[in-house]
Amino acid sequence: MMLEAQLKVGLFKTLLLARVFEEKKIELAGEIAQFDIGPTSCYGQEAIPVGFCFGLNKDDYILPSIRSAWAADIAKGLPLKPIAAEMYGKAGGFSKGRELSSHITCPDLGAIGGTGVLANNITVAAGIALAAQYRKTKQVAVCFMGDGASNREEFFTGLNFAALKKLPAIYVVENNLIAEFTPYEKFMPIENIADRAVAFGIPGRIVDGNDVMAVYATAQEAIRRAREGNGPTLVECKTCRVRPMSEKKNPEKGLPAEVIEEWKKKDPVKRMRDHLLEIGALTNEEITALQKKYRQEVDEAFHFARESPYAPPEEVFRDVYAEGAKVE
Amino acid sequence: MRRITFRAALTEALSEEMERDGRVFLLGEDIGPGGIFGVTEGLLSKFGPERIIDTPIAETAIIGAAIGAAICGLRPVPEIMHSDFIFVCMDGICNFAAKLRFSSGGKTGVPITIRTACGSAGLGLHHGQSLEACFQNIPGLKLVMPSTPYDAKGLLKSSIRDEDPVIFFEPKASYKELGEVPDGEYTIPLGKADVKRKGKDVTIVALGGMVRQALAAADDLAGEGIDCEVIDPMTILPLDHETIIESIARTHRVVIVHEAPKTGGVGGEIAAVIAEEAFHELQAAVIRVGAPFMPVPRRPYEEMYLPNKEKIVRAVKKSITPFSRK
Repeated sequence: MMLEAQLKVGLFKTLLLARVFEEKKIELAGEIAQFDIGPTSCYGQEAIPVGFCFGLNKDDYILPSIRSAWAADIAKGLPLKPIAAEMYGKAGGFSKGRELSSHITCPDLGAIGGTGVLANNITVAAGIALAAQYRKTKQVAVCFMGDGASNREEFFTGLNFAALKKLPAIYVVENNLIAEFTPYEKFMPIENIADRAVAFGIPGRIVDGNDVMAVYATAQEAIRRAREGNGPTLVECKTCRVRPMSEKKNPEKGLPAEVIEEWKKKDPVKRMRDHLLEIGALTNEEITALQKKYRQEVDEAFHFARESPYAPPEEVFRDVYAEGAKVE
Repeated sequence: MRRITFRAALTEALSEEMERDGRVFLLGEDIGPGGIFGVTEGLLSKFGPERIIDTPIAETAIIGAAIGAAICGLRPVPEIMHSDFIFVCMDGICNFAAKLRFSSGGKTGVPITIRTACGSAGLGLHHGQSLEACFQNIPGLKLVMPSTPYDAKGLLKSSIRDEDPVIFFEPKASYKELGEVPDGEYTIPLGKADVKRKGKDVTIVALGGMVRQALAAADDLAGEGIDCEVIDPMTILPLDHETIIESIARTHRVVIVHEAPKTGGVGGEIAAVIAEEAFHELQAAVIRVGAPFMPVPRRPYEEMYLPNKEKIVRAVKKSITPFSRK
């Protein structure tokens, strides 16, 4: 698929914003960890959520993975301030700061967070796709997971159900070669997770997860297939976790340094920037200006998060049941 | 008034709610052919395969799909054939469905009604458990367990219309039971208990299939001059404290009966509520009648395992025996 220069610039802008956000998360890791999980960073893997979410419609749904949730949410169009506020446990967060920011849920903008249990969003994505099919809305559900999550039961029951009913769902595996502290080959008997698509009679695609244009092109193919009523696609994006499991525990045991160094050369932001410079779609000055703009936006979001209030007790104890329903 | 079975009352409730609201659909194993208990019989030909969705044998997919569809505004009614199978999909129910309203800051709930057949029917430990207590400590869920055809219909309709996830337990032993059900539309509110028999001496709080046993015990005891009040909470979560406490304020004695093991059962919560809110009204210790703490044995041993009329009669007599101080 040949992409227009304008589209490439759009992709790059979203990628850059996601990168700037990840850099800030890493910078503030110690502070964030006082309130929130980890934080876990998808630094180096941003091309996957960005490639899939860029170009989705507002009423499409995403179900992000634990690692790339923030990048996926940003690429889906969720505003930065409440994302940051959620990280700081503040009232302005999507859950009013009561739930981890890795599970941000904003149904109005089509973001449905997962839970502490990886992969249980796979079957939920099938349900969202089922609702789209039921109502003939042409919406799609894009469900992200790590390589580790693809061993859980829901991977099999969810993909089987989605394939059987030809549901408009797209399943994206972010294969970053490691699950928490266990390297891929220690828990996975096969080289390519995409091969499992055969078991469900659906296409299984493998794509370079550090090439945002390739991810986007594959995403578009899968999305089109889903919208046309031809069912789900399983896409395995090959990448590498170049950051530790949690930024709080940096440094710690992860993948071997030489593997990480090798993958760092394939950094998705650097690759896209080089490409845009090469084709003359953007100049160095323009990129620097964009970077400055995004840093300012991200700084403002974190400033908002720091300065905004915690949820008052009456908000903390709400939202267990529908308004008016009393249990205790 | 016409008399129909518990099963037929449920079928009517499903059919009426599907006619009333295009967002309501069913999904589950073998529901097209009517389900193994016949509750969904006739619905496939009436509503078609888009709304009566047969699924693979995969409880996680059934519940996950229901949750996703509910997030998008539909009203799924997933069926988990035997409640014993619900352990397979506890994660979706307890971690996802029960908590999404909270984690979304109130932006979305998960209005699903999980129908599941509960209780013993001679088939033993994996087809006969009563698991309601497993969910009683999960905020965000509602738990309903009817005992009569009339209640089954009205409560199922209310459950489907409810904005929160409901687990609707259908006591297997009740499916063939007949009862009066009026023609036409009615609902029964969740969270409200029903006094099945008025009485002044002892309050019996009974759940599901045990309501019938409690009423039979009350009839026997009436012959001995003991006047029992029988309360069916119908909704286990949220529990109607008021009706139970008000009754104990009159009878001052209470026996709590359920089919699940006594240890860790719903009866413990009810007893605790009574202790907290009506301790000063009690003239006897609260007595719980439940199954022993062991797996459900298959027929023919089930009979000695299950609580029944005789066990309830003994408990009531114990509660009216004056305290003896050693």
